[in-house]
Amino acid sequence: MDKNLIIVGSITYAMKSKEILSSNGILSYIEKITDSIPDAGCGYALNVPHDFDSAYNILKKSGMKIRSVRRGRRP
Amino acid sequence: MIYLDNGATTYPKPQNVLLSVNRALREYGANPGRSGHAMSLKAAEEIFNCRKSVASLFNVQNIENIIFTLNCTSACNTVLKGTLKKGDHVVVSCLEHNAVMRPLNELTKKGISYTVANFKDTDDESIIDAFRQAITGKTKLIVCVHVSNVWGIRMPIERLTALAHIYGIDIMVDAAQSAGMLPIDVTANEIDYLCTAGHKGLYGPMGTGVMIIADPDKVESLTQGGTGSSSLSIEQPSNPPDKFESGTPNLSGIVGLKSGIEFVKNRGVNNILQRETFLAQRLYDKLKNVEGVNLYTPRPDGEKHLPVLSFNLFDKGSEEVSSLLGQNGIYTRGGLHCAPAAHIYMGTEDKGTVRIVPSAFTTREDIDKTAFIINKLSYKIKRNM
Repeated sequence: MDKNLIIVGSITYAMKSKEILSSNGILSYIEKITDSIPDAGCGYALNVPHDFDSAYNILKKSGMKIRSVRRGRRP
Repeated sequence: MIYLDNGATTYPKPQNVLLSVNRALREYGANPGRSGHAMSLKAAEEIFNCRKSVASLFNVQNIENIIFTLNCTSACNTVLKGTLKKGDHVVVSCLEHNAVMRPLNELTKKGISYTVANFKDTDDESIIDAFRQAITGKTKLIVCVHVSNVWGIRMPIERLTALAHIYGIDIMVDAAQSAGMLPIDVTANEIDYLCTAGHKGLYGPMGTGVMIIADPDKVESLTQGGTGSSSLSIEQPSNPPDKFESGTPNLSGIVGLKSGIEFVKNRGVNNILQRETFLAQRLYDKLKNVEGVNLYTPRPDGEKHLPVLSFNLFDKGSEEVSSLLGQNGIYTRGGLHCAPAAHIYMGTEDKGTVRIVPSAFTTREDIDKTAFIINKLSYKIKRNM
């Protein structure tokens, strides 16, 4: 697992989250949750390659419901 | 052909709507919010963009509280059946469409009651007073049509919302006829539930509707099923919009709806109203001089009386007159317009009326020809009397 993922569940929340991060200058990509993430069920996540902690805090402050996070391997 | 049945659905649709629907079907026809491939994400993005368009038009703060439905009727059913419990009481206007009255009637079999706020005069004070008198200690919801689909009467929903909230009651507004013709600010007016069609004044395809809910926790879902999220659980998601949008959405319809809203915003809601009022006034002024024409409402003014014109011709049945008009290439709707309550209010429940509703595409020539044909019919009917 190399990606930093913020798992939000529904595609609508993923898109809304992406817009929130973009307006804060943070790049993110929407991805479907793959089978490699156990217990996350089905849904969508944001792949945040940089500024992950800032992204997480921004989304929390905006009231976004975050299901879970997955941190990738750090260099 | 002159199409004046825009109260049922608008026709034609704007060019950008036709193009966007076609493009959606050709270029990103995947199921949105289900898969991870680029086309599915693109489809989901288009739906998200339509939610943003709706949010912008109606000033909605949380776009996830914007729910796409099949039509206004399904939106009304969701609010009524998703919020009301046994023992609850509802107050409705005397002009409501069957999209409200039929589910309410069904709910009376489950211990829910309702009172019709009857008013004779249509000034705002009389209407507010009628609603106030109908409220009881058990009233949970006020339901009111924004603009009557038969008479074009505009109801004072801003004041009704304030009245409802004074008593701790929620309000549901049926904006099927008004969306795209009147500015509606859901946030400023604190409307609890707004239900509207996507295919009338918003110029989207049929098979689209919008429901805007202030507090989704107050509404139970009527349909449960696949949402593309949390599939491991057999519990319906509790968060909107997934809570209320089970199954495959009408992607091409929603994409078309976004284009329709763009059309409305580019033209300007006030400009559309002004133009349609002008056309309705022109027709009204011609018809009032035609022998045998019975116009039931005052001249449209764009304030209290919006451009929805209903009339009858001598004692002819409205369906017959509408049929005769259709044979002359004028497409209207006769009958009760799925709103018997509105006809009972005016005393036309026996024969209904012929309804004419212009759109952004109706021309002055369309109106003049329509008046000419109605005049011709009047002459023929009188000659045979």
